[in-house]
Amino acid sequence: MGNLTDLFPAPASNSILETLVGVADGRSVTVPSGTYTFGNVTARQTLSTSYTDVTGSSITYTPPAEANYVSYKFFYKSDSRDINYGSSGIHNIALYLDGTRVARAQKSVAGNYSGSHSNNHASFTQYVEFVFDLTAYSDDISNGKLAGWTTAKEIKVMARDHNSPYYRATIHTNIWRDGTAAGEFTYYQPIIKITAFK
Amino acid sequence: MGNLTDSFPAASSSNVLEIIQGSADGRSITVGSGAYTLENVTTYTNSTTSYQKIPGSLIAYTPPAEARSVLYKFDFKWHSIGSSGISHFYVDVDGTRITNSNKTFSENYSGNHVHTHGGRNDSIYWVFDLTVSSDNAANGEFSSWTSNKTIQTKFRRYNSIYGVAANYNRYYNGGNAAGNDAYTIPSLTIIALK
Repeated sequence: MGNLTDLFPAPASNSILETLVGVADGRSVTVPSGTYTFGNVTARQTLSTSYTDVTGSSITYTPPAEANYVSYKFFYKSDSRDINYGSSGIHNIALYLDGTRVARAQKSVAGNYSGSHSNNHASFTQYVEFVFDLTAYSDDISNGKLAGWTTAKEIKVMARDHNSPYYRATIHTNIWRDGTAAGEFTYYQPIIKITAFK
Repeated sequence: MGNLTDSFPAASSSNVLEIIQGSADGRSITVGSGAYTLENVTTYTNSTTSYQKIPGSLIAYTPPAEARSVLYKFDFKWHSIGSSGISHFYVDVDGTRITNSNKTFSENYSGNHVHTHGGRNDSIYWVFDLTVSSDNAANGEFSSWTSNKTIQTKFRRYNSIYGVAANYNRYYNGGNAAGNDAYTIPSLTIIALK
């Protein structure tokens, strides 16, 4: 017979309940709270001056029961759009939880403005990150605070161009690859990473 | 007196098996699967028109036996050394390019090739899927991963005009960076999940 602590080991002091991470290539990932299927991004996405869902950013998630905090992080690639109009590629980002905008997570991203709208080289990895606080007394989603989170909620990112016809961006785009036009590799699949903490 | 399980609760059900995270300064990190030594970055690296490793990005890693996915993430600084700095990057596993890890970064073009102010942090990453039935290294999928695989980030410049240096600060303290100020140490993260 072994020791009692072999049968009942000391609990881990780790505050991470689970990490869900995957490329938006249609894969399904199973973690303690369930199985989640990521979007399947197979093309770049152009924006307009109205907010639209960013492909690959949506996930419907229920954290483990003990969770006090849920971190959502969405990595994507942006690129200034069109040689005559893209300019610095300004675009605006908004995070939504179950249809409500999380105001504290919104931001605007762009490259430097060159003085010519046809100079559209700005091309970076961007990310949207927010940590939801589940310890609040009542829901205040626009500030990312919830009084618990026990049912499935959709988290997603929406985006729009700054203006039209100038200052526009494409999402998930590689314009160039290996010293030439990107061709078949013009899109880049984003990644979602969710971490639930107690 | 409470229940026995109050004193000896069940072990954590977290799906995180291990995390390796460190600055690439030559440090060794011991986790459940073994001890890993990160590279020691002591200078920046100019790009050429051929792919080469970004120093600090390499690790030879074997995940724990239970792992079903492995996140590789390399965070580094780049700065233009030519025009808008267009450069290309990808994740390499045991000599195979992961096709969908291809990325191109650049700052905006100023209209003058000697304007090289573009400098940013950026990340290269991939999530390896270990739940598949057969290996497809170009997709970052492995049915079994029981010995070291070497993972690294490779980069090149677009052409002789456009390019960046990796781990590079062109400017610091109000002037051109020199010596230890001219490089910045990248960080590497590996997370194994069950």
